[in-house]
Amino acid sequence: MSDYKHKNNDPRDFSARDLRGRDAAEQDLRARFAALRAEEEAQAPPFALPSPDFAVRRSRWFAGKLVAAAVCLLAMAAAVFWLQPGPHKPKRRGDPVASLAQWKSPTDFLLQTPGRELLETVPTIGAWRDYAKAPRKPRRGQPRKKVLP
Amino acid sequence: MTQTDLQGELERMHAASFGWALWCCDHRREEAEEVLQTAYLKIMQGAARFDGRSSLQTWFFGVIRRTAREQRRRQWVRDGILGRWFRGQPAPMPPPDPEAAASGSQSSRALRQALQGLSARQRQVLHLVFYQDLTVEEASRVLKISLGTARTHFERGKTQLRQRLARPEEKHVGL
Repeated sequence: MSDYKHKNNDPRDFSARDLRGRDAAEQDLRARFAALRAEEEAQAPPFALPSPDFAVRRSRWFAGKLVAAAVCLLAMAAAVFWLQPGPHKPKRRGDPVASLAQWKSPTDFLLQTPGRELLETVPTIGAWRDYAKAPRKPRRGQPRKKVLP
Repeated sequence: MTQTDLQGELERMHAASFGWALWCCDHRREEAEEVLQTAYLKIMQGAARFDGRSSLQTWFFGVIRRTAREQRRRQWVRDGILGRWFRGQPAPMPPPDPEAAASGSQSSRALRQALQGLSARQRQVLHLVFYQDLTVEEASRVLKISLGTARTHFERGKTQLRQRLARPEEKHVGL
């Protein structure tokens, strides 16, 4: 009796039984797979290596696809280059700049300061220019200080 | 290994290779045939070379798996992205061949349907071990995953498959 109890509690016994059960289940799976394999192998097409023509045709087809892809990429790059606005756009033919001396800066007008003619003209003897008549900016009067007695 | 020897070995493995290609292509027969032909072509052109680091079968199954993945990616681009441009909506992946799914014995059909519920990785590991009689280690080399990962997929896949096969009436409601 005690031996029976001992046997039942022996973990090695359980693992052995478990393994046996697992083996049986695995055998069942193997048998099922073997049946499936037999059916599928019966449907397999006959062995035939691809002919050299097939390889050549496939490589040509692949090369053709590569060339087509490269042409598409080039066309896209060219289109992007030519349609891009800004500095890459070629200048109009109407207003070519002849020389550097003729060139004027677009911000040149900023150098034309008011009253510049006073500095540029030389005063001449005999000619009188009444600068007093020139419109003056009204001066703000300074308040006089009161002198204490 | 000479070219003639290699061809002989490929011919000997042809049926098993076709079975593996079928599984890599979710049982789409035409796609599997094309994948297998492309894999043969890779070998003939020297794009895939056997260097003897593993068994010939392990190596060739790896070539088939990669080829199937490339083909699926190409098809996804063609039907997904280009299809969206031309038709306005992406084309879904074609379902597994219904004729192939319906063919075979009752046991095989049940097994196929039960396998559909597993993850792709679990299906592949189980297929390589039970169907192709490879070890789990060889399966891990074919799938380019670690041995521990392959063991985990194998154990979990087995458990789930057993459960699905044990209660067939509950599992295929949506199929």
